[in-house]
Amino acid sequence: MTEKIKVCHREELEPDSRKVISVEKGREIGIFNVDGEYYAVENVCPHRGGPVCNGQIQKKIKAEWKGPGNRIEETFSSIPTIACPWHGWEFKLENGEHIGDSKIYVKTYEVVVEDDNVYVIC
Amino acid sequence: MIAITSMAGYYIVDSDAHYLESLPELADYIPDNNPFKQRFKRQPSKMFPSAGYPDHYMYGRIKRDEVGYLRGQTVPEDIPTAMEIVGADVIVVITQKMLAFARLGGDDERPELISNAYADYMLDRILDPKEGIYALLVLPYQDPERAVELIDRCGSEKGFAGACMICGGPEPPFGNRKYDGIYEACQDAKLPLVFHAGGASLDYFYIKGYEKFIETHTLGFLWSNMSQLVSIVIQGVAEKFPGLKIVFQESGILYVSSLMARLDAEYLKRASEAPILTKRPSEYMSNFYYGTQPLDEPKSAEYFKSAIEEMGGASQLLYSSDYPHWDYDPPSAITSIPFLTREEKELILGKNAQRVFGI
Repeated sequence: MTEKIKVCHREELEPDSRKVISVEKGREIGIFNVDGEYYAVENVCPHRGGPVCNGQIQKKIKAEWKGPGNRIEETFSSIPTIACPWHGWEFKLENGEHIGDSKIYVKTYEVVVEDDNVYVIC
Repeated sequence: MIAITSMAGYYIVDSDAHYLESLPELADYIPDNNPFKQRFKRQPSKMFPSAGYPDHYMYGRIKRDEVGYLRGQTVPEDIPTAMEIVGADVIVVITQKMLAFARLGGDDERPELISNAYADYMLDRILDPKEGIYALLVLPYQDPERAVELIDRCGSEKGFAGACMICGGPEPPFGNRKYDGIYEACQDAKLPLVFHAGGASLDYFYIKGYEKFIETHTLGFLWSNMSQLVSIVIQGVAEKFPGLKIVFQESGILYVSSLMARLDAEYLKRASEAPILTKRPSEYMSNFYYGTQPLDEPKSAEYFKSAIEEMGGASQLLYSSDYPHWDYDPPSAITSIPFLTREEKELILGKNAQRVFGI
């Protein structure tokens, strides 16, 4: 059974901002606006239960290797991730997958905008 | 044709036995116009310090007729005797002197001269694939370009089962791009690359204040291989050179499963620091091969079994004797492991090495 919960007015969730809301039984969900795209993630790291939604967001680092003798070049991809502030476990915001092992994930939710309001479906 | 003569019908490939080369004899293979030729002949102990202080033989209390280098060096005739003592149908011998590579100071020609002389000596005097006698091509990692030249010159010789890099202090460590050319050349030549713990790492701990051989021998070998494994795995050598067969020798095997777990834990916390990896460190490590000597002796067989499963199972293990060193393991070290099946013992004792080294 899913529920549509109002998060805030769209203007209260500007790009590069977030809101962490409480839903039933103390469960928290973080809703993020990254470059105009909305994401929602449960605020519990699957590692030790840390507040993952309080973590820093950056683009996933990608490696490029141009052959023997060259350094591995590191650049940012277009994939936004969030790192749990407790131990650094890092997840893709779009699907919750841990960047080092896709079998590990944090729960994600759909975000919709209706009538200038932001909702999370959970 | 090599007969199956070994214990209980097992075909035995000893993937790591040692050969104490005589530096004055190796110097015969150094060009006459190189001043190091005479230096190696006249002052061998000064030109290549040995490693491993204090005494391996517990001050004379470990005393067996068949161990050690009784003549002060190995001679070609010792190899069939070694095979008979170990019970090996095939033997892969590895340098003794160059285990101390990390103790060589100075940016001079010694590593490349000795590596090349050793290769020529081995070809001239020792290697005999028809009789099951192989060696590894020891690479002068200090000069990667020279190492690649040696691979190009000798890597296709049938008697060289693979190439070898000595752990125990290379700077920078082996994950560095400086060594990429070596990895590429080995991959192209289909030469397995054996990383062998180095005796120089024992001395490192002694110099730092550890007093007893029991301490330095325990830590030195583990540090030697673990430090290079970490570098190789995290810097993505297996990702960059997927066709390269990687072997680690002479630190036992149980350290592998614990290092896997440690690296995986670090990786899950800091995956962005190793962006070239596409899977957990343990998944690369379980594709590497590991020599068994000195075989660990855990109290729990159940723990031993699960640790072997963690590191990829019996298919990843290569029996190695380390003969004629004081703590060499005979094949019975493997056959006596209670939980292994006959088929798994066959893999470890011979079939894996035949597959990995193509012998």
